Amino acid sequence: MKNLTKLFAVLMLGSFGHFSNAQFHHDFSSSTTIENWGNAIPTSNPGCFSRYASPHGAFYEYDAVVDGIKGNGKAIYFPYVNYQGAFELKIEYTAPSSVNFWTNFHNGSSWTNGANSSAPASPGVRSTYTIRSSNLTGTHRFGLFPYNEITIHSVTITNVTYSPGQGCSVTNTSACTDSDGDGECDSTDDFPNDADKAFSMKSARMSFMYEDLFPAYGDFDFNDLVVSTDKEVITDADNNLRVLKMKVLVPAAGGRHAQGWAVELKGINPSDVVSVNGNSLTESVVSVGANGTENGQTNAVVPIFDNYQTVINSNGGPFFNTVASAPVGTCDTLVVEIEFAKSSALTIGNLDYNFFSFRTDARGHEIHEMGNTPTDLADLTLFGTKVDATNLGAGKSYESVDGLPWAITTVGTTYAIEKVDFVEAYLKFAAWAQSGGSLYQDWHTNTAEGTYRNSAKIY
Amino acid sequence: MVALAAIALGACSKEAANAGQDPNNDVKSFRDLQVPTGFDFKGTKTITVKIEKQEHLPIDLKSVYRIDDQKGNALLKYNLEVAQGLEAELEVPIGTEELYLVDSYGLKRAVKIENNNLIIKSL
Repeated sequence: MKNLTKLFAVLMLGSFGHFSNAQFHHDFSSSTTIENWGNAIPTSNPGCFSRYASPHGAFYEYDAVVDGIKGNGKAIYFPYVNYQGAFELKIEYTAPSSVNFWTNFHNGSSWTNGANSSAPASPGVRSTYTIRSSNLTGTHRFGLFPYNEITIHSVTITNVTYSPGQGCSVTNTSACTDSDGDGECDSTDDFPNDADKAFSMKSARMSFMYEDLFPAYGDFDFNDLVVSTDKEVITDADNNLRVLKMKVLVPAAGGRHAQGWAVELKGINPSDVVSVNGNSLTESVVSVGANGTENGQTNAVVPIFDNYQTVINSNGGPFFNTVASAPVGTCDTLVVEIEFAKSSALTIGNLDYNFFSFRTDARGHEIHEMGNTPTDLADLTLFGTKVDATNLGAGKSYESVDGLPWAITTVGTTYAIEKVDFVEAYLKFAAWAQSGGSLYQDWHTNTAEGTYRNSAKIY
Repeated sequence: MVALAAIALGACSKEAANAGQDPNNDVKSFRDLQVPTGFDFKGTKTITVKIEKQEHLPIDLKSVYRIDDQKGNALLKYNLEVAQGLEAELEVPIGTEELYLVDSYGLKRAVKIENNNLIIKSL
């Protein structure tokens, strides 16, 4: 079984080192001045852009329509800047097709680091081309010699100092403010003031609906426990997994048994978890370690709540928000944060979720989605009893002898009312299931009355 | 005609339920569902996102790319070493037909999911 985001392959390079705040950045505009030069590489006006113009006429004139300067087969040198070792030179460009060019760095008397390169392009799409080096010092100007058409919009060179040249209008602006110094510009950093976080990823809300009489059949209303969760994954600038944040609600509970809910993070060692905060454990049914993960598990298991009755505010009656005529109750929003150790070198690809319910009075009585595996603490003696047909060796789990589940997941948020068979509420569900999932994939989200749903049977 | 079809389907065995056909929707109980072997009732599907290596690049090109859903949620956000490419699995709601590749400038383009693959050949 595999779940949710798995990410392979790319191991990012280690930190490229922190740059100083000094940098050169220029957005080309109508006020940008570019001096012309002929056959000799220019050394005058060191603060200016320079273009090879004679005898072929002017190139790299600013064009407001494309907001850049266009060249085709002609050279352009950027202003002299003082390199201090490691740097990143980034050109923002557009081109009708891939651009081939030759580049170098000129120190006023000779060029170094000449290289033939090419950059991919899609018409009308701004791309960036980046050169990095860990070892260039002294005053140089960067030269670009494109063999085919390119429009340059801006240039950024980090960890350099720039002195404006006489007679030039070259505005050096700060393109990349990196307030937390994590190497990611504030403009692309979702957490610009937190060096441990850079990127936030959110997935659609999912609802987990359970029948609680496993391994026996129940009434198939799939509202014995309904749990909704939004997930946010946070990584740092080097793509290390740092935080998994879940907002969890219990919209309904129409079952006989008090239940808890948890998530197993398959393949993640409990020691990779630094802390768990925001969950609700009141019943002493789950034993957790100092970092908040459940003891006795090979994979990290994080209990979200151990009794739904402690996270709801029922207004009376045995059922919570499953009987239309009963008073409506409210539920708490749990915001559970799981922090991962940076040293664990996990990425978002290591997240393999296995959500499950368990009975408050019997921790081992787990219910998972069909095909998902039990945790180390599940009561395996339940398998193969009553109508359960689990065969772990054959990769079959939480599946009845009729091929039916005890848990359904959807992106929808509604559910059947008490004692209503699920297929009577959602009129395309049966067709969806019997087609193997190929038909009516909107069985839950399509609200067409009489065709897709019978609202009288939906809470 | 409808009644005949219903009778015929009622006689179908579990193994005979054919994926891709529109089964008659006369099932009155969850208990009576006849689903294809292996169907797991999950509301999501796993797709593979593959950003192909841009191997012609002689030097580093690193930039932040996102894979967004239609609501603008960033499902994947990655500081990508373009020369190395990326292969990832994402779980998305069933019925998702396309996602969006968004570069660090916010420019986005739709990419179709085909056979549960989201393949991006060029950036």
